[in-house]
Amino acid sequence: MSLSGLEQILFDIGCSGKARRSYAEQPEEFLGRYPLDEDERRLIAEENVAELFRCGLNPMLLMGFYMGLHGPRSMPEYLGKMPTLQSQMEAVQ
Amino acid sequence: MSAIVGGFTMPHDPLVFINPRKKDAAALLDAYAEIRRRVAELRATSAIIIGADHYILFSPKCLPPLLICLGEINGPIDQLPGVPNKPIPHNPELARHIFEYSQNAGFDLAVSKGLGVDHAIGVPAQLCLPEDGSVKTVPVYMASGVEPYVRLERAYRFGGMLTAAVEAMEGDERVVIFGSGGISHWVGTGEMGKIAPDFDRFVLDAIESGDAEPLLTLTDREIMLRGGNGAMEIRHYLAVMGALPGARGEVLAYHPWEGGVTGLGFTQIHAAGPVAGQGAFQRSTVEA
Repeated sequence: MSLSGLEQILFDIGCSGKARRSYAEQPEEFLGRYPLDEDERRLIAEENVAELFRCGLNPMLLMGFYMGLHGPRSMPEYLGKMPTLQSQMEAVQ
Repeated sequence: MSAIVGGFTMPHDPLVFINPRKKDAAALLDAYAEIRRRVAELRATSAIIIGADHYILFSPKCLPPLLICLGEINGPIDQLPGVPNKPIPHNPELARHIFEYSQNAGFDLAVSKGLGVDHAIGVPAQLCLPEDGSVKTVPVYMASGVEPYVRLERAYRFGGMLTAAVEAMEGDERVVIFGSGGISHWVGTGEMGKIAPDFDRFVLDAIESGDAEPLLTLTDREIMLRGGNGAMEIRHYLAVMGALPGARGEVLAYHPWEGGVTGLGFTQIHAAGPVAGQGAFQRSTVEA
């Protein structure tokens, strides 16, 4: 699992409108620019924020990624998908 | 002689300004205004503002533990109603002096030569400093939002280094130091929206007493479990406490505001000498 590669793609989509548009238009081509394996590409393509969080990715980054793709009104939907920080910390203890 | 003349802590929760639930935020805006009034009363000439990047400015390719901006700044770059993104008067001489001093004092700061700051720096700069631009900002980013985090003890000692640097500066700079950040808050996790008033009170008690020890003995795990990942920003408060060791604090306002997601505390940490700033302001605290 390439945490740095995953974090970079989430950062780019969350912070750059140009990256978001590029991803929306040609997702496969966009994902191909990053050093990700098949499973990692799938997690991004499925927007599986819960699993990405369990993998150790920063929740601020995940929130920015999801809001970037779906807008601020998707916050309840995003939070409904997310595990708690406490459960994550207990799992990795 | 240049000196630190006061310290303040304040939140920067974007929801106070976006206010999606349309809750009354007047007491919070009053608290920002009260800090602005006290900064003017202290006759401050510069403000060192310590905040955290929220994975907005710095990418995974480069994550500075501590960064100082030597050049022009503007912000906040994130769109917040009522807090326009505009140039922030800055103090390049003081910033350069702190950078030079730090290199001989055990701190190697990353440098930006010009920065669009996010709400962590932009909110206090725009709301807590006089609108006439008479108080110039020196922004410092501390790794509190994205790991690897600056250690708590290191944050406290960094504050002490800032005081030594300011006192070594020629002239008569009167510097206030701001620790920008919320108390309890969970950002982007399943708990988001939860506020922990017990933890907030614990932090505010430490600030009021002037005793940093209860905060310094926390582990990052304890902070996250009790106050959430956002509470890692108490590092900024520790830097202010380290700049004014033993100085007593005053809680100006505390609100576990239902319109936001954060325990919102506003404090002043009084520098030694006659207490400035206490006036007719009606302290507002709301217990959950």
